[in-house]
This record gives sequence, C-alpha cells and structure tokens, in this order.
Amino acid sequence: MDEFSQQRKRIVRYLIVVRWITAAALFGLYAHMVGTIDPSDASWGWVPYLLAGYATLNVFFQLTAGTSNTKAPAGTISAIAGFGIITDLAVFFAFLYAAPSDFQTIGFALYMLVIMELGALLSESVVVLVFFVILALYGFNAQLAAAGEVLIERLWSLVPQGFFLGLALVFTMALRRNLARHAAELYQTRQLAEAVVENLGDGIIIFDTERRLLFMNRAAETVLGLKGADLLGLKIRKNISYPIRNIGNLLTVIGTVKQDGDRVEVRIDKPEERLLAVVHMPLRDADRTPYGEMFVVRDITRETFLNKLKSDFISVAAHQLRTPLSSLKWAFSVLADGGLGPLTDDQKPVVDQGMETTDRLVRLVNSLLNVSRMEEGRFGYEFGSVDMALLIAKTIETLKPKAESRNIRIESSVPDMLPPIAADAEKLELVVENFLDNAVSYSQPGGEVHIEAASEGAFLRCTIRDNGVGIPQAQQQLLFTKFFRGDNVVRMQTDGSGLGLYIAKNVVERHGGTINLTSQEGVGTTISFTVPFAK
Amino acid sequence: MQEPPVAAPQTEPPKAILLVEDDKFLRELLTKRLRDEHYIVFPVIDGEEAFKILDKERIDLILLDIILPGINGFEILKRIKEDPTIALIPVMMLTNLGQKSDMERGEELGAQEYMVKAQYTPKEIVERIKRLFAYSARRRR
Repeated sequence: MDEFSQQRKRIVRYLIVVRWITAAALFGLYAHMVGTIDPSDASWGWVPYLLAGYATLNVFFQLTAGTSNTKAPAGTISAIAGFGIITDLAVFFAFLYAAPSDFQTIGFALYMLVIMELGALLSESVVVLVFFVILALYGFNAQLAAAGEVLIERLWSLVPQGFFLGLALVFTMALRRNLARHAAELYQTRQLAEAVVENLGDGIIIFDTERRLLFMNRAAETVLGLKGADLLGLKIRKNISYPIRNIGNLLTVIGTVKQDGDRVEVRIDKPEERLLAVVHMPLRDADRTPYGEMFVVRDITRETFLNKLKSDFISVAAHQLRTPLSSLKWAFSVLADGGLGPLTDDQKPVVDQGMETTDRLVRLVNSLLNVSRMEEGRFGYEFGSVDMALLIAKTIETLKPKAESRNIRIESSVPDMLPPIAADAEKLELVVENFLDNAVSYSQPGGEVHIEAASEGAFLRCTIRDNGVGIPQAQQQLLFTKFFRGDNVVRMQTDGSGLGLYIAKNVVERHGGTINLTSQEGVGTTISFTVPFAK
Repeated sequence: MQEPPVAAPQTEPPKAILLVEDDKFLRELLTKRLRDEHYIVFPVIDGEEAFKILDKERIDLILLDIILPGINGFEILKRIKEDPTIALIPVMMLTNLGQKSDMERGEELGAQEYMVKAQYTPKEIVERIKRLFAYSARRRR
C-alpha cells in the first residue's frame, strides 16, 4: 500500500512537469499565432485540434492521477477529478468547435485552461503566467513582443468575462481546497478506523450479501489460522472444498448463525484447539438495505479455562472442607449430647461455641458451593407450585432459636388465600432465610422483624422489614455483589460470608422477579422481592 | 409382633447395621454412638469388606458413604439392589456429596434415605435410624 502511494507520488510529479512544459509550449505557439498568422490561412487549421489534444491529455491525467494532492487516495477524491474533467472537456469542445480563424474563442478557451491550471496549482500557474507576461512584454525579439502585447490586449478585452471567470476561479479553488481537505480528513478517519479494526483484539470478518469475503482483521487471521488476502472476494459457501488450509474454521464460524445477534460458542482444533465466541451481525446502510454481514470472533479459550479452574477449585475445596467439618461437627455434638459423660458448667459453653462455629462454617461452605454451581449454570432449578405461606412459616421456625437468643421478635402477616407461586421451593427458601437471617442478625436486641406477603398483579411480593442498624447509603449499590459486606456490620458480626444476598439476587432473578431495598442507617432496612404466581 | 412399634427395639433381637465409612474418626464415632443405642454394628472401610460382611451376616440396615476407596458408594448400592438376597435391606446414604443430582441418583438406585454428613449430628442420624426401623416394623405388621 505504501510502496504504491510512493510510486504514485512520483508519477504525479512527473506528469505535472510534463503538463507545464506542454502548456508553456502551447502558450508560446498561441502567442506566435496571434502575432503573425493570417487567420484566413487554412494551413493553421490543425492548431485548435492540437489544443484539443492537450485538453484530452488533461482529462486522461485527471482520470489516472487524480489531482496533485497525493495524500488522498484516488478513490475518495473522485469529485475533484470529476470537476477537473468537466473543465477540461469544456475546453476541449471550445477548441474543437472554434474555427481556425476564431482566435477569440481559442483565446477564451486558453483563458479557461489557465484558470483551470490556476485552480490546480495556483503558485505554479502564477509563475508560468508571469513568465509569459514578461516574455510578451520584453520579448527577445520584436515579433514575440508584439505577440505578447496582442495577447495581453486580448486578455484585457476579456476582463468582463474574466470577472465572472475569476469568481468561478475563486469558487473552484475553494471547492478544490475544501474537497481536498475533506478527502484528507476522510482518508485520515478511514485510516484511523482501519487501524482500530485491524488491531482490535476481537476477530472481525465481513462478508457482502453473497458471502464474498470483504475484510478480515489480524485477530481473525490469527485465531482461525487463515490469510485474509487468500480469501478476499471469494464466495464462501458450505459444502465446497477450497484448497486453502484451515478454511474449515471459517465455515465453522459461518455455520453457527441461526439468528441475527446470536452469540454462539464454537470449538476449532486447528491450528490450535480453541473455544470461540461468535457474534453475528447483519450490516445495513442508512435506509436499512442489507449490504453484508459481520462476524465478531472472540477467543475465549483462556477465559473459559480460568473460569472453570476457579469453579472447580471452589467445588473441590468446599467438598474437601466438608469431610473434616463433619468430623468437627460430630465431635462437638457427641460432647454436647453428653455421649462421653456429662460436661461441667465451664465446659458446656465452650463445646456449644465450637458447635455453633462449625455450623457457621458448614453454612459458608454450602454457600460457596451454591455460588460455584450457580456460576456454572448448574444450580439445578426445579420449578413447581409452591405455597409461600408454608415456606415463610417454615423459615421463621428455622430462625426462631436465633431470634429468641437475641431477644428479637419475628412477626408475620400472610393473607390466608394466597395462590401458589411458581418457584423452586428449596432455592427460594434460601432467599427468605437469608433476608430473615440478615434482619435478625443486624437488629439490636429487643428489635422487631416483620415479614409479610401480598399479591401484586401477577406477582407475589414478600417484604421483610426490620428496625436494625441499616445499610450506609453509599454501599447499598454494592450490596448484591459477591463477598460484599457493609462497613458497619463487619465489626458487629464477623461471621457473614457476603454471599447470601448475591445468591438471593441470582435466585430471585432466575424466578423472573426483582429485589427492592430501602434502608437508612440507624433506622432499619426493608427488603422485598417478587415471584410470579403459578399459572 | 402385636406390641406397639415403640416397644419393638426392646423385644426384637437387636438390629444389625453395616456401616461403610472410610474416615476413621467418623466411623469410630458413629459406631460407638450406635452401639450405645444397642445396635450391632459392623464398621467397614470399603465395598469389598462390605460385601464380605453381607455374605456372612444378617444385616438390617446399611449406612453407606459414597466417596470410598475402590468402588464407590453408588456402585455398591447398585450391586446390593441387583442381588436378590440382600436387595431388600434398607440403605441410608451418608455422604458429603450434597448435590441434587447425587441425591437423585441415590434415590434412583434405591436408597431409602440420603443424608449429608456435615448437616446432621450423630444424634440426628440415630434418630433417623430409629424412625426407619420403627416404620419398617409397622409395615411388617
């Protein structure tokens, strides 16, 4: 690409020189004609055709080289070239239809030519024009000087037209400069966009509507083990064998499309085993006519591997933790039950504390396992028809000992005739238990916790309200993120895992419900969630 | 056999329990706990030993761990249920695999109960065992 533009720059420079030499020769010839030639002499009839030939050359020049602005690629500034071509054609026809004797017309055409050249390269034109004027005024011989005078006289007589032509000149120049700048900007923007797309970490593959490859960036080439240049313009279809290595990867990627905007995971095994996430997008222009399609290919091999590693680790760690935990729990419970003889008053609270701590650890391990399963998408939901009143009563029963030990009252108000909800009872119990446990844990002794259920359209809303310590405003947003714990409660109660609300949020959302929380530090917290009624 | 079920443990010969558990501490603890309740307990470490006991002894209940050296608990359960001479012995899974899929597998293979060790105390396990025996005694009547 770069080599080409270098070469093009050289050619254009060369052409400019040729052009000005030609132009100079023609002007000289014209000056000579005006001064010496008898207009009625038919043997000079070829001169206009020569001039027309020059104009044709100019058209050709415009077509091949574009303008002298070599920074812009030919394609993007075709408008400038187009304008040049039109001017040149006008000159061409002026010459062609001018009779040999009609020097006035020829002069006018030349004048236009000068303007055109001026428009193209003002500085160069001025130099050349001044050169001619000097040549005309102080010519090396009298004959040429006379010709120069006649030329200037003629040009002078053309001043009225010149005024309009001057306007045209200014306009042309402005237009040209504007277009050139525009083109340069366009080129820069395009270059920027190309650089961005080319160096993007995600693979980008673009086809036209007939699945001809239009573009493939470096990332796509690397991931798929292909060379975009080998495939450019090739119609990629299934069931066709191309003699190109790893072409199968491209077919695999294309084969994933079922619906626009789908994200599909595909596995390829050459040149390396990789897991790819492929997103398909149709490309449409402003009036929604499709002009192609784009595939974004992301290598998620490592990402997936790491995720699995993490998940496996948690899973294995949790399982490995459970066995010694069972031992601990059993040991404490045998002691507490008096299975090894009665405990003294000093021993009993220690054993009870050990038992309680072990239970907490068991719950933490369970939460960790739940989270890792949830994140792997194998939490194993089983939806059924659930009686919320029963679920609430059961959860209150579970938490009663804890609430009583902290001197906190749990009040519930559930209407008698609540229709059943569509839920996974076991998972939803985790949610209610968590909310209720939080309310009890973070209330001051003597506090009250209310739990109520009410129907709200197609949903049941369950609300848990306490007058406990509340959650600082600034931290409410973070509340449902993994391992988050409020500043004010970390010191107060050290055994929270920061997983409860994260799990709860996931469970409620999986049910199609939402969680709503209002809390004020020192006043209390109200948390509610919705679950749909069974249909 | 006409007595109320509560009285059953006292009048009937003591129940024999096969305990398959590879963790020494848990095995010994539970063995002691069960013997305190006057059950006959055969503690074993793996499937191989379990089948030796099942060949020789009359067993009323099997407590079965899943993760064991050699053949795993599910495999042992499957073999028990395939052998008509022992297929009717109730099996209680006592394990740390708490996933729903594991529980379902145990149930499918014919386990009577499924308990996650870390979530129950020996006392609660003993209570379950008592209840199970009481239930089967009622059914036999």
